[in-house]
Order: sequence, then C-alpha cells, then structure tokens
Amino acid sequence: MSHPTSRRTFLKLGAGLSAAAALAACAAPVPAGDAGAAMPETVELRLTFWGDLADMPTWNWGIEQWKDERPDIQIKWENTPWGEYWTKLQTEAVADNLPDVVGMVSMFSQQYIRQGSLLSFQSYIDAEPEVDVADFWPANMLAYTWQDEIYAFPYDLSTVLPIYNKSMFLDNGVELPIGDWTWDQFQETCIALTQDTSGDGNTDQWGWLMPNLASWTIDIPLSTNGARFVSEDGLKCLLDTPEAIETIQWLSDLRHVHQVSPTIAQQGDVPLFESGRAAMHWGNPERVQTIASRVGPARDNENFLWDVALFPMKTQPGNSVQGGSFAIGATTENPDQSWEFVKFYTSGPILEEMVAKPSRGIPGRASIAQALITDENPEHQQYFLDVLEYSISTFIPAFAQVTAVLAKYMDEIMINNEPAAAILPQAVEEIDPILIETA
Amino acid sequence: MATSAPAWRSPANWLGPEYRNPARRREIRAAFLFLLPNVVGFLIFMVGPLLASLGFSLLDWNLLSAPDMVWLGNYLELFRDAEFWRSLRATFYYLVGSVPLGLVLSLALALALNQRIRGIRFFRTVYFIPVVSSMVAVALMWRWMYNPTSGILNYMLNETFAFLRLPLRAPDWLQSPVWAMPAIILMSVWKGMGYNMVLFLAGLQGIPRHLYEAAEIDGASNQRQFWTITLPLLTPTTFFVLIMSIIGSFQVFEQAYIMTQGGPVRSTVTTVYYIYENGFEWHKMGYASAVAWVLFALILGVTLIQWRTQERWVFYE
Repeated sequence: MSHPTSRRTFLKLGAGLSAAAALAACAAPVPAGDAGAAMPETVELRLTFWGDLADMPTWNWGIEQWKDERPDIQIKWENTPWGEYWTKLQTEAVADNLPDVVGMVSMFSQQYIRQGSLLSFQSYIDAEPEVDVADFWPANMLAYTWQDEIYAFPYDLSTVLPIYNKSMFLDNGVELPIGDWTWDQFQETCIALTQDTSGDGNTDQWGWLMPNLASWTIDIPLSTNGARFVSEDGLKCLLDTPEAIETIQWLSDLRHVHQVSPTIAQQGDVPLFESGRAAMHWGNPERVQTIASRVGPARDNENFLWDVALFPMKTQPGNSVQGGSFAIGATTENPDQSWEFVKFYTSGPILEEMVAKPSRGIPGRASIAQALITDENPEHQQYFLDVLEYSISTFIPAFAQVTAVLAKYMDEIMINNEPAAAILPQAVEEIDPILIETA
Repeated sequence: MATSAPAWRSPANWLGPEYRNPARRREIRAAFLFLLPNVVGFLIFMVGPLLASLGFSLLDWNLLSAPDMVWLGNYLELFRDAEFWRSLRATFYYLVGSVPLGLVLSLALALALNQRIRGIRFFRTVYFIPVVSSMVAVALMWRWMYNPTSGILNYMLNETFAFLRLPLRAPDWLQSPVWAMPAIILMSVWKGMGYNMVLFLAGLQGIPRHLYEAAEIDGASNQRQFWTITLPLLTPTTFFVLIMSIIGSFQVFEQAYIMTQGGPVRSTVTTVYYIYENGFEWHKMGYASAVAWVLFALILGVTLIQWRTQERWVFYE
C-alpha cells in the first residue's frame, strides 16, 4: 500500500538531502593513512597557458619527462584561448589567485612584472650558479628583467620572415629571394606575381599577404629603414620620424598604389598562401610548422615547394624578436617546486626536443638553437637565427593599450589610404602620454 | 523603566493586520524563508557589484596598486575623451539603424506568419532559430558571408550589379569604416528578428476577432483594418519591443567583439566595448565604471522619456 508523501514531509526530506550534500562537499579530504605517511608529499602545481589541442602533444612530451624526473610534483595544465587568457590572468592577479606557473610572453611581461604579479627568480639564480642563465638569448631577456632581477625563463623566440611559394616563383620565372634584397626588389617581385589569372578583371593571385601590422611586428619593416616603434627606454613613440613615415607609407603604397596585397578582410578565413593564391606570406618558425602540416614539406614536395626569405631592407637589414616564457605567480604557495619545474622545463635538452626540433619556435636557449635547422624544414630556415643578431624589440608595460591606439591610426593609413605623414604624428601625440603614465 | 519597542520594529505595523493571524504569520515567515536565497543572491551578485562599481567610478585604480580617490575626475575626463564620444556616436548609429529596421521587419514577419497556411509552425520555427543560436557561431557565419572575395553576399551583389550593368562593386564590408557598422546592424537585425516576431505574433493573436468582423461589415479594406485596428491595438506590444530593443542596442558588444574587434578605425567601438577595453584590457577599472554609470544614466533617461510619452501613442484596450 502506498502512502502519499505530504508537502511538509517532502520539503523536510528535500532540505535534509540538500544539507547532507552540502556537508559532504565541505568534508575534509580523507587522510592517506599509514601507507600514505611513508610516501613523499605530492604537490600539484597549476600551470596556465594559451595553447590549443594541436599544441598539446609538444607540451605533453615535456610534461612526461618531468613526471619521470619528479613524480612528487604534478602539473595541472590549464589552457585558455589567447584572446581570453590575458583577461583571465589579470583577473586572477587581482583576486590573488595567480597560478603557480604562468605562461607569459615578452610583449606583456613588463606589465605583470611591474605590477608585482610575478615572482623574482633572482634568489634561486644566485643560489644555483649551475643554472646557465647566460645561455638564454640576451636580447629577449630584457623583456623578463626589471631592476636587475629576472622574472621568467623563455621557452621560445619568434623572428618573422617572408615565407614564399617557390613553385610559383619558378613557374613565373621570378628570381628567388635568396640573401639580402631591397624594398624595390621586393616590390617588383610582388608586382610580377600579382595576377588576374582568370581574366575576369579581379586579382586572383596576390604578391604578398601583408599582415595586420598594429602589433609588435611593426618593428620589422621599421627596423629595415633604421626606425623603431618606441624608444629603447620605452618613453617615446618614434613613429613620427621621417624614416618611420617613409616605411609605413611604402607599406600603404604596396596595398593602395601597387595593389599587390589584399586587405585583411580580402584575406578572410581562407588560407590564401596555402591554397596557392599568394606568392608570399610571412611568419615565425611556428607558422613554418603550420604551413608544413597543410601543404607538406618545404623541399621534398612535388606540387608546392616553399622557402623562407629575409625581410627586404631599405637602408639596413632588420627584424624584431618577441617570444614566450614561463614565470611563477607571486602568490604561489609552492615557489620552490614551481622553480624546479620552470628550471627543468626550460632546460636545454627539453627545449631542444619540445621547441627546436618540431619548429615550435627558436628555442629560448642559444646553445641548442641549431636543432631548429633540419632537412625537413625550409632550406633557408637558418635565416630565423641569423636575423637575431640585429633584431630589435619593444617591451613596454601598456602594450595592449598602446597597440589599440596604434591600430586606429594604422587603419587610417592601411584602410582609408590617409597619408602616413599626416596620421603618424597624431598617433605619437596619443601614445606618448600613455607611455609616460605607465612607465 | 521598560520602554516599548519602536513602532517600526513590530512586523505587524508594516505587514498589516494579517500578521496577527498565527496561520497567516507562519505563511508569511515561510514566504520570506523561500525568498531568502533569491534576495541574498540579488544583494550579493547585483546590488553589491552595482554599489562597488559606483565606488570604483570615483577612483583611479587598476585593481592591483593602491587606489587614488579622484572623486568626479573620471566623469570630467570622459567628457573630454574623444574616444568616449566616438563610442557613443557608434552606439547611437547602431541604435538608429537596428531598432526601426528590426521593428518593421519583425512586424512584417509576424503579419506574414499570422496567416492560416500549411506549414506555418515550420516557418515560425525557422525564423526563431537565429534567436536561440550562439552569437559567436552566428557572427562567424556572417563574417564568412561578408568576405569580399569568397563571401556569398558579395558574390550575389556583384553578379546582380553585372546583370543590371551597373558600374558598382560590393563593399569590403568589415574592413570599411563606412560599411562595418551597417554590416553589424544587418546581422543583429537578422538574429533578433525572430524574438520580436514572436512577441508581435502574440499581440496580433490577442486582438479581438469581432473588431475585424465589424470593420468588414462596414466595408473597410484590409489596409484600412491594419492602420485602424491592428496597429493601434498592437501598440502595447510595440511599446514593449521598442523599450527592450533600445536598451539592447545601448548594450551592444558581442557582435563588434567577434566580427570587427572594434575596427576598422574604431568605427565599431560601441560604448560597452569601450567599457570592456578600459576595464579588462587596459585595467582602468575606475574609468570603465564611470563610463558604465554614464551609460546607465543614458539608458534610464531614454527609457523614462519613452515611458512618459507612451500615453500619447499606446492604446490599451
């Protein structure tokens, strides 16, 4: 015989079950008991990064090595998409909930260092002279140094080079860009390879996929004319110098006068380079890896031979360098363990396998950089390393805000076809106060 | 000497005479108990942040370093801030473009789908699908459609221009400071049309049938019936749709964030996008809060004006 449950009984039961569930959730972890007491204490480090699934096999290889090395220090790897990663990290900094190990990049590192979010490595470095800090590429270490203390170890560096469709060059009888070349030669090459192949009046094949330059990459063309985005002390925007104006106007002319480069919207979401509709693109070693995964190897490829070239110069060779690193959150409860992990994860043998050999990037350590040069990579992959000698960088705390302002003025030039000489002084006028305020 | 409690301390004085009835009293207590989680949540997650942001708006603070009290400094600064005014203009452009268009199209759609034809439920469902679709997916789909070289929209436009022998080319939608905002408006109207359509459909079905029958007997044409019966009796629905659409337009963000990132030339940086930039990208939380409160005042002002003017054009049966 069934008894209908009264409303009161039902509510009591419901409240009781909810309370029990809440109490269970609050319960302390069960101790490991006698057997557990003999085991070394296991620590879990939270590591945040912006990688995606395609990246993970590379990173996981290093994590597997770490597990063998220190099974007592486990890594909880948390990925967040790049766009949201920095918002999330800043929010965690505000909430005093920074991860133990922080994925960092050189263009934002000064902001996090100066706001006190990262732990200085200096006491560890001083105590362990066997850690070869001098092996990290010096130019990039400026990004991770503040008041003579180091706050991160780089895992990779990026220089950026034109990547070209060698088959298209050969088919069109255009000279291959090997060694130094000039802006004029680059422009002539682009004009020769921009074509209306279908004869419908529309361009189907472009000379160069000019990327969005409102970022650190703006230093690349600027440096080839002796100019730079921001002064070395980070206090003055230098876009109003005659050399900078000449460089940006040249880039604008490539799009608007010579019409050899599509707009960002025309480039769209279809990879024009990989689909054989652009003679040149540009990218870092990671981009080389991506292109290889899409069109096949650079050298042993029947349909699509490709290679990398130096960026063309006006008065001097130039390039820019930025990169990724691992730092330690200032609020970590496990600083020693985090240090042990970062030290291991950015050591030579690990970076060689994890970063250099798969062309994930130029490895953070100079001593193993040659591992980036393999027969599977483009013939002139060495250029990525060669340009480090003269690459320049911009490391400023308000990078995001400054590049947002830069984007507005670059759009005026690159989309609205306004003259660089009229626009860039306005950009300087708006950027300079931000640089000074946030220095 | 014992003194009696102040009058306001006794629930009976502010809950009325019913509180003196023990059974009713138990019920009232139970009601408060059940309301408590919601009220606590409202206080913690709504009122708390609101008051906090009002306090933040008086500070120069990046949330990490020590805050500086600037009192009304942020408010004064934003009146001199060209970027703030630019964002306000972009928001009004979006509002003026999307609200009337969305209103007219959703009403037209509701009228069309208020007919007794086969498969009407299917069509209603189809037009409602964009409403329940993720904004991210919709924005990405429209980005492909807007692609100047491989997008279907420009393909169709250019084919049409060629067929009509017009010397025109379809625009470079999302890379043009002139066309980026219209492109966002078009996508937003398409996405939100189904929701307003359902509201209008409910309004249409609430109009008494006998009014149309009387009008038919008097010989009124369909057009006359629409202007003298349908439209006036739909005004309560139209009023609701208008208020909600205007508030929604003031808060537009995701479309610009996904499709254009505020560009080109910051032509699609709306006020909420500007709040996001200041607060979460540049970490100027005090300034972002001040912009948010000015936006709130604007929305409140516009809504109040609408509310006050409703008696002139809204007809309740």
